[in-house]
Amino acid sequence: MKWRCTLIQQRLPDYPDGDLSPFWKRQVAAHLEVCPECRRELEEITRVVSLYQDHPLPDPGPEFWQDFNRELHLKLAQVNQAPEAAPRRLRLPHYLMGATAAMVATLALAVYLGPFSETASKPQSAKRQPEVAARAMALHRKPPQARTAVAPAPAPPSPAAVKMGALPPSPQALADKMAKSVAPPAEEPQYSLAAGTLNANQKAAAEAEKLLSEDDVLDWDVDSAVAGLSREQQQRLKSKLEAGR
Amino acid sequence: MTDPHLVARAQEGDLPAFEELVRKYQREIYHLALRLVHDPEEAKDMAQQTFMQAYIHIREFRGQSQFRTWLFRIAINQCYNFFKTKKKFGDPVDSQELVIVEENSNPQEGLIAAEDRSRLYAALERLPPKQRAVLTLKLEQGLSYQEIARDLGGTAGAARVNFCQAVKTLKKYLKTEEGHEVALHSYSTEAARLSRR
Repeated sequence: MKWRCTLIQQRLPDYPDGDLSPFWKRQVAAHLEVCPECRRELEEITRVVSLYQDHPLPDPGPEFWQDFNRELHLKLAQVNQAPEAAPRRLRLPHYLMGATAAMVATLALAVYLGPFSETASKPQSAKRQPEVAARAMALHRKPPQARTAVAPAPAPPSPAAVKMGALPPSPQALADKMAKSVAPPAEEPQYSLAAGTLNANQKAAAEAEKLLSEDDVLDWDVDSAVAGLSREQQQRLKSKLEAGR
Repeated sequence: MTDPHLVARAQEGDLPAFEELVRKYQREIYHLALRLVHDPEEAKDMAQQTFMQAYIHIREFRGQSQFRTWLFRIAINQCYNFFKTKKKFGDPVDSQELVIVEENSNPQEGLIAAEDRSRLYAALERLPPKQRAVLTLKLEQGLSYQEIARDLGGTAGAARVNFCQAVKTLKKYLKTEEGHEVALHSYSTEAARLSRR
């Protein structure tokens, strides 16, 4: 049977002294007794294997090995003296390295400038203080008629100051005062972004109102405020104040 | 000293210990490379590269297999890389270039042996590199199919199939080489006879 011959011929190169299990050795031996084709195949394989083993590669000679060892020794000595190579790092292609660097820079900027930064609320609250003061001023501001008549007047009068008979401070002075008086929010932990900012703004507004409602007349420079007005204008202002009472 | 001791010392940077390992395996590595690349200079280069790579990566050897197996694996990879880069697979090489060092040889026997050798080398050149590697490892180094599978990759069964196939192919090529030689021999005798007339 041909299929049996195929199975046996696959094991012929290892028969009888090769890497064959006892089961297959018995099978091959039994088949060879009855199959002349496989016997012929075994003879040819044995001849080829013997030819191969009878002609090993010739040794190149002692001089060859002296040269070989000398050259190898020099190369190994160079390797031994060379500093250890840096550990392999993940090498990204150039375009990815640029993109990665850009991303890292963007994230760093976002952290530094964004809402996560420690000083985020400080500049915001500092910015908003003059705005709040200006808004508070605007609420109490009279129509600008008097201002247009009085050309070089620096600041419009506020009703509270008008009632008291004194002129309100300039917005800049008010903002400076608020900046000094408002406690810095840095002491409080800024865990909530929006809440923290809002708290600071509310505090600033409250402080501004407090300041405006105070009768802190001593801080107002009345003389400098009316210095720019003419005698006629001063009279008119006085009559208005008296009418307002 | 045994291989594990020499390897342990080489891993600590002891160059003489590694050179002792080189002297132990240099012939086997060189012959394996020569069987695969068929060029003595290239085979010498391959063998030196093998030992260089082994020395550079000696600390990565964990002793899970024999040092010899690991070394053979490096040698075969070097030869396969050589085939890929140089594309010298199958280039015929004059087998007479190989230096023959034989003493006390009978001239007539020497001639027959030389003829057989040239036939064998010519047939081996035509084999695929993997079959050449299997033949060398099995017949010259005497490795088992398990060890061959560890060196070349794959399973022991695949190594056995490769070996059987290699022997059959070599047998076929030897027959064709023999046929060529017979044809050449008969042509030369006929030509000599005609010239005498």
